[in-house]
Amino acid sequence: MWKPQQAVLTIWRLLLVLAAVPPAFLISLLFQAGGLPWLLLVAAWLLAFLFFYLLYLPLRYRKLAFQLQKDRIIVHSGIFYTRIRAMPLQSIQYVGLLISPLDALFGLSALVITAPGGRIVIPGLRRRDAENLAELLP
Amino acid sequence: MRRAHPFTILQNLWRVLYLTIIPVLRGFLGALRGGFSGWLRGAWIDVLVMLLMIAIAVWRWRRVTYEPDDSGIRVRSGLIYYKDNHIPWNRVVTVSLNFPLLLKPFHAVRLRADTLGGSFKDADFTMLLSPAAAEAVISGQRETLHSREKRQYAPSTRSILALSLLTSNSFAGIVFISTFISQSGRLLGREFSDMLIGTMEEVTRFLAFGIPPAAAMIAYALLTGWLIAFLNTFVRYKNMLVERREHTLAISGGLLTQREYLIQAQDINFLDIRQSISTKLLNLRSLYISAVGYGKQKDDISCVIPTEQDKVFTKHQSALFPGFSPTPRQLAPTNSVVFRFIGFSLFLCGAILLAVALLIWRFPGWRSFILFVGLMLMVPAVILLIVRFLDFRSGGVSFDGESYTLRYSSGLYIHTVVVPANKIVMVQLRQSLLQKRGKTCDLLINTVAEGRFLHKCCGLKLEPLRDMFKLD
Repeated sequence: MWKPQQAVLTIWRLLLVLAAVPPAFLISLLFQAGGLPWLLLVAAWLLAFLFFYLLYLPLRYRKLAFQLQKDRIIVHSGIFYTRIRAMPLQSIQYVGLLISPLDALFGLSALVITAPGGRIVIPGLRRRDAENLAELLP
Repeated sequence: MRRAHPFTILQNLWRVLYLTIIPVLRGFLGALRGGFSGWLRGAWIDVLVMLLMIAIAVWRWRRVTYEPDDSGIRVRSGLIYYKDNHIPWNRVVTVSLNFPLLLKPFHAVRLRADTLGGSFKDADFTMLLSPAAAEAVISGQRETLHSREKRQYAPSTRSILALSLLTSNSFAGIVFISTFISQSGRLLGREFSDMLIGTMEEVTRFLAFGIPPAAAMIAYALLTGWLIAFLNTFVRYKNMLVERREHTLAISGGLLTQREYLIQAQDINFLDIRQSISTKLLNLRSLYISAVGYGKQKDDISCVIPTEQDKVFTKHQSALFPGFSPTPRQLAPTNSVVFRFIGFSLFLCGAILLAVALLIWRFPGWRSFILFVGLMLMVPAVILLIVRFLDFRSGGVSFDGESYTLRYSSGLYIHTVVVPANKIVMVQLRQSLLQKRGKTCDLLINTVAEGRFLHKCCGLKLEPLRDMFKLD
């Protein structure tokens, strides 16, 4: 069973921080600091942020794994819904790499496997590993 | 190189209709400034714009050419961006010929060819041609039918009537009527569409028979919508013939608009045997198939075997699709997951009853109308509950070494899907936190399709499924 690189967890956490900025900005803009609505919203924002940062994302990384068998590729993922996805190698139409700016910063990429009627994305692979895997797949 | 039917020029004209905004604006401003004479002075601009539209339409028609050969069909097109595509015949899954009623006086037919690639909304090749030209293109794709290999199925009028009766959708009919009224207003003037609506209101008031007029209006609108959908379906399937040859399946039919389809048998992705509550009670089944390019357009003949009794259905299904036989269930939902199936529909029924009670308490003067609407909403909710319960009782999966048989419900229909193993592109076992305790999961299967086609069987035991699909 292969695991994505640990750095992908850092990328997810960075994205979480970026996503948390607009709600924080809106709360401070629309509500008076120190008032009850402001306190409640800040508490909710903080709880949500800590939940995702400390619990959800690490669990998501822990559950993510994949294996390449001789006739298929299998991906394990999911927290609330545990998923096992299997795609026969013979149905793969094409394979590509998806590299975001944060991925490029950490030397990672996501492998996108496309079949007629389905698609699997495996994030957090080293660029070289993703290219080697893409070559192995039909 | 050959060209499309000249009627295509009219179709191209429709695509540049937006240019009429120029004479409209020009006329409006001219009339504002100088009245009729002001408008007339600038009429030469309107004439120029019309000539430009015609020129673009003709130029677009001239720029599209095609050339069929033994290996495929080459299509060249484009005004500014030039495109040259070669579609190989061995990649074409479905070829269809449409003979629309409106195009019959012009001797034009619509030829479509579709492959697994390209857009999933439109066919990869579409062209208006004369019947002779269309036949010349696809003649090499027609397989000759040897008498000893003859496998034909022509549904009876009764079967087609039953299909139209049981599957017609009021909503589709209502959309049809409302489009007709709004278009008639656009074409013939606002007064005509107001007259149509006024007449409908008077007739409804006359035929209310003690029902609140607003409720009667809704009921008659639904009934008329259903009647239009019924006639539409019947006319589409009348004169239907299905022929199975060694490598192709030929389907034809239609009363006003004739349609013909040639499908590569090896590229049929799955068979879908469908039943609603009414057809299940009457022991009837309908057969649909999935193949790229077939059943894509909303007015296609998407059903291969309209409603037939079990024995007759099985006989024709095995003759037309050998190797696609459903097998008995090997894995079925356990009793403990019954609420996984009926939970939402039970909640829906309860919510409707509660809403009706609250509204009657709040608005007692509207009691009869609220009760009527509540009843109308309860009917599909109860049907959904029954369908979901039947799904629980009959759902599951089996494998005979070559094909999987999936049994599940979707909307108000119960599906039995037979899909060869090599047409499955992705298998997903999905287990929620609640399902972890009972060691059950949902099975989601994607089959070969241009878009995304998902089959879902719920509440099956995880370990036997992992064994069946070899997911260790």
